[in-house]
Amino acid sequence: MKKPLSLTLVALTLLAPAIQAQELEDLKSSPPLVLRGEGSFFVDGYTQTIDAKYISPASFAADAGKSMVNQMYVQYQRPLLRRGKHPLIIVHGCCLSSKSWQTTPDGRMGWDEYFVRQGFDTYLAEQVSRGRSGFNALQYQKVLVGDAPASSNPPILIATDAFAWNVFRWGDFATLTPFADEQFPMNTVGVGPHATLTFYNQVIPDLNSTLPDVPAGCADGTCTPTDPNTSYSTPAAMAKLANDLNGAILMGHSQSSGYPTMAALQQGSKGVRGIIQLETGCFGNLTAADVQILKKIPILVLVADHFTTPQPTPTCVSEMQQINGAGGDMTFISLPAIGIHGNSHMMMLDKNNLEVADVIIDWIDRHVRR
Amino acid sequence: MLLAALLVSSHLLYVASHTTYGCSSVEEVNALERIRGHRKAFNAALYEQIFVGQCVQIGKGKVVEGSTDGSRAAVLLVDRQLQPPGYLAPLHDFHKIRQ
Repeated sequence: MKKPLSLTLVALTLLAPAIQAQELEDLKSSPPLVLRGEGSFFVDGYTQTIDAKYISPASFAADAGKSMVNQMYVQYQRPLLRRGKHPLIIVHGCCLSSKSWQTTPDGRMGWDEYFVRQGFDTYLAEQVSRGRSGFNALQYQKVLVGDAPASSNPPILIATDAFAWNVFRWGDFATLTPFADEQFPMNTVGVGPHATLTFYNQVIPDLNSTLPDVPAGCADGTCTPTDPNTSYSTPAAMAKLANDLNGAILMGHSQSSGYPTMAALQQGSKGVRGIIQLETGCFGNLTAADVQILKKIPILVLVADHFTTPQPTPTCVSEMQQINGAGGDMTFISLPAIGIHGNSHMMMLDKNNLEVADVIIDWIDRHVRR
Repeated sequence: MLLAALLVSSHLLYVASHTTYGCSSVEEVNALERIRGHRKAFNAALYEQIFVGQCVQIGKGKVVEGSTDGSRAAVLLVDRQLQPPGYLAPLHDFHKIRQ
């Protein structure tokens, strides 16, 4: 049977990006990389007891026992030739994973490889409850068997293409028109020649709302919700990792931009040697005691282009006044202000991503004590 | 400084009466509270702040450690001890459960 032409055209239009999606074919070659180590590990989560009635399918109920949750996955590469003393711990933003720092969606070198090539031991941490890190699914099982109302399920953040266009500052979503100087590889979000949807492959659901505000066993309010030995959140796990590495520079982006500061303020934290906040992450609620800790750690706030609101934000201005007024070292860099234009919120994937990485490396060389 | 310290009350446990939020600065809380009556605009603004890490969502029934101070009577400092520096949240969205 002959299909109507209009239907065929619609089908081709929708399928075009999928047909042209070719992440593997887009990979660019790079020179050999000499490492002295590579691997992966977890920063511990904690175990919780899973009652038989929460085991699915029920035929496995006899396997009720303990389950590890909220552990943080970390992968690392250590170059043979090191630059400086401190490794980098890098954490991604909302609805994303460590993939943000790896090969760009159009096949160019990512920041993880670039920082290693520039001599940094580089640790990519996946936020607790995201990607290869663990999360706590017990609440959903409780709803499934009727022990909790469906309304008690924590919400899951889902980032759409419309949201990405607006928050990542690519241009006008309604007309799919990027900014004239946009540096993001727009063909990977369906715009222009050789259009694909490969960027959207790395946008995944965000389960942060499943994380407890109190450690395991405290949710009923019957115990003191403060246990410095319990790593149950990404900042706590980052602090532990920085301690274990005997010092590290922490870098967060967007949702995680405040995590390095939160890690530095964790009880028992003594390993944070530098803080890099990509796109804000400032705090307007620091106490004098917090400032005493943070004034000893160099802090960089780096923002990109096309903001509709003035930068730095009032919160960043007040934090800088607090930190620098106490003798600290907090720097704000706007990329357009130093002559680098057109960058998006996802600067690590932009076409000039290595130029932006060099701005960070230059700051590290100048500010972080070796 | 001493006065500020005296104004800080002891840390208590609170429970969220309904789904709410906490932010890294009082300016963000004030901005969100100003549009709270406009559900669509509020949700969009909150979603964006959560996305970029300036605020977090706090689900209904969540138990948090909290404290108040005299200078910001309408604001609860949430999880200051557990997740320093904690988050600032609308106090009216919580009720105290125990000290």
